[in-house]
Amino acid sequence: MARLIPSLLLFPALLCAQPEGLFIESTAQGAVKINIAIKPFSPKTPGLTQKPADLPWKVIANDLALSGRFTVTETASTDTALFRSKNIAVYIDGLYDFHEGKVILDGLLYDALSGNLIVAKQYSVEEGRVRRAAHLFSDEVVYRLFGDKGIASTRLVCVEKAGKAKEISIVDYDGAGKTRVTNNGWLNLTPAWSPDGKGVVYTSYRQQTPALYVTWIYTGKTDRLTKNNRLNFAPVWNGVEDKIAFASSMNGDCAVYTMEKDGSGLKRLTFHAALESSPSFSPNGYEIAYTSDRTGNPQIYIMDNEGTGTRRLTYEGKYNDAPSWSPKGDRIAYMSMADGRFDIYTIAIDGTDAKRLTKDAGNNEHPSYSPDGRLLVFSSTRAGGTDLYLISEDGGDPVRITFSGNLDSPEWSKY
Amino acid sequence: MSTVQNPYESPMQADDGLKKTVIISIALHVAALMAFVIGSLVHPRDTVPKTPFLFDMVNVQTPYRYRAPRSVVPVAVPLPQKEKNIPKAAPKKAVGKNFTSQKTKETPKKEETKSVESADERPSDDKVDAKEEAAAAPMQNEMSIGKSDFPFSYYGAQIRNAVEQNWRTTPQELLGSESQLVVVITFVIRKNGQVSELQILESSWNSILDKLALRAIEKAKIPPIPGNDDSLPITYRLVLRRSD
Repeated sequence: MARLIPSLLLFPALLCAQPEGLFIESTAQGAVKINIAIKPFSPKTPGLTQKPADLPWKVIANDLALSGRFTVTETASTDTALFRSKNIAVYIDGLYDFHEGKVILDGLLYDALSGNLIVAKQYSVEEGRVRRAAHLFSDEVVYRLFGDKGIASTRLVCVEKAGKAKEISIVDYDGAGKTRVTNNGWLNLTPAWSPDGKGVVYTSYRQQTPALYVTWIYTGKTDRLTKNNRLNFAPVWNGVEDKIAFASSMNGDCAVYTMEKDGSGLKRLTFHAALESSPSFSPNGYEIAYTSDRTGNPQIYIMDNEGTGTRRLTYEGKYNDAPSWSPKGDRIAYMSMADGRFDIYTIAIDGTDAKRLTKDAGNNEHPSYSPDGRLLVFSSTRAGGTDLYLISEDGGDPVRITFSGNLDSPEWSKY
Repeated sequence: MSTVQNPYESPMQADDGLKKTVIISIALHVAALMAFVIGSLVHPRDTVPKTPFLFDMVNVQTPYRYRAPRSVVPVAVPLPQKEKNIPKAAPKKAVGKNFTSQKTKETPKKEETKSVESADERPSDDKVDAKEEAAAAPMQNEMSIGKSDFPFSYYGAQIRNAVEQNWRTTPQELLGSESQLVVVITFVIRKNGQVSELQILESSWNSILDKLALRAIEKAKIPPIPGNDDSLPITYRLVLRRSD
C-alpha cells in the first residue's frame, strides 16, 4: 500500500482519463498516421456561386495524403458522431471570399472530438496563387500536428524535353505549376538547386560548349561558372560552405571538382584514371558521394570534401549511379541496374541495409530526397514517357505526379 | 636495613620493570604506527577508481547485453485490439484497475511463492515464465496531462506518438532478469512544443534505462500547444516490457 498511494498521487488524471490511444495507428514500419477529415470550403458570403480556380481543399487533401502522415477522408458534414465512428482526430474546414480581384482563403483546423479550433490562417492571394496558399496551409497543419516542417511548399527542378532541345523547368512537388527556367533551344541538363532555393545551377550548351551556368529564378539573371571548353556537368551545391561540386573533363579524364559559387577556387578532388561523376554532398558538407568505374563498372564511393579518405559504398549490382544523400545523412539513394533496367535503391552510409524501392516497372532513375527525408522523387518510364513519381522512403506504391511524359532528372529543393 | 629495604626493593624493581616494558611497548606501537603513516605517505595505496558502473551489475546475466539488439522490437506499442475495447467499455475502471489493484496485490504474492518453490527454475523453466508473464499485470505506457480540462484530445495522442517512436527502439537487453522496468518522468511542454524541466519521478534503478527514457522524451518532436495554454505539465510513465 505504501507504493500505491504515491503512484495514485502521480496520476490523478488517470482515474478520469479520456480514452487513450484512440488515434494511434501504427503501420508495419512504425510510422504513425493520424486520421484527418477535410470539408470543402464554404463561401463567406452566402449565395456566392463563384469558386476558387484550383479547389484549395482538394490541394490540401492531396498534400496531406502525399506527406505520408495522414489518412485523409473527404467529408461534407462535421458530425462528431461520424468522426468518432471513423476514428477521426482532427478536421479541416475553411471559407473563401473574393475581394478586389483577390481570393481570400480562411483555413481552419479543428479538434474533431471537442470541436475546438486549433489554428486559423487567412491567406489573401491572387487568383493564380490559390495553390500556393493551399500548400502553405498544408504545411501549417503538419507543423501544428507534428511539430515538423511540411514539404508542401517545396519544389522540384527537372529537365523538360521540348522537341530536340532540353530545358530546365521547375514544378511544385505535387507536379503542378510547371515553369521554365531556361528557354534557349539548346541542351540544358543536370539541374540542381542553390541552398537558398533562389538559383538553379545546370549544364548548358547555349554557348556551344557544355559549361555550368547558374540562373537566379527570381531575377532571371544567368551567370556562366566554368570557363573551359570541355564537358562540365552534374553540379551539386552545398549550403554549408557554399561550394559547388561537379564532374568535368577539363584535364582530360572525367573527375570530380569543387569550386566556389562564383566559379573561382577550382579544385580537383579525384585523380584516378577512371571516370568519376555524379557528386552529391552530405548534408553537413563534410563528405561527397560520387560514382566511379575504377573497378570496371560504375559503383558509388564516398570521399571527404578534400578528396581524401575514399571508401567504396556499393558492391551489389553492375551499374550503380546517381547517388543522392538523405537530409538526415544516414542513407544514400541511388539507381542500380537489375534485370537490364534501372531501379531505385537506398543504402545506409556504412554500406549495409540496401533497400530496393521499385521493381519490374520500366526504368526508374535519378532519385532525390525530399527535405524532410520521408519521400523520394524519381523519373520513371513505366507509363511510356519519362515522368516524375514520388515514393515513400520505406517503399510502397509510387505516386505519379506529372503526366506530360517529358520530364526527368528531378532534384528536390530545400525547405 | 637491608631486611627492611628488601620488601620495598622487590616491588620497586618490579614496578621499574613494568614501567620499562610499558614504555617500550608504547614506543614500539608508536614506531609501528609512524612507520605505517610514513610508509603510506611515501607510497600511497592505489585507490580503486571511483567511476560509476555504466550498467546495473545486479541484472547482468550474459555478455550479450553489450551487443546491439538484433532486431528492433516494438516495445511500447499499445496493442491496437485492446485499445478499441477500452474507450467504450469504461476506460476509468480499466486504467485504475491496471494501475492500482492488480499490480500491488499480485506482485508480492507471486514473489513469495516463487521464493518458496525454487529460485533455480526461473531462467530455465518456460512454464513458470509464462505464468509469471500472465500474472505480472503488465503495465502500459501512460501519459497524463496535468491539466484536468485540457480540451484537445488529439494533442495527447500526438505527444505519445512522438515519444513512443523514440522509445520503441529501447533494447530489451536492459531488462536483465526483470519482466518489466518502469520509469516515471515529469516534464513541461512550452508553447512551441519544446520540452523543459525534465525530471525523473520514479527511477527504474537502471541508469541506462533512465537516461534512454529521458532522451526519448527530450528528442521527441512535440507539436505546439493548441489553445491558450502557455505550458503544459506532463507525467509520463514509460514501461520496458519483455515482448515475447
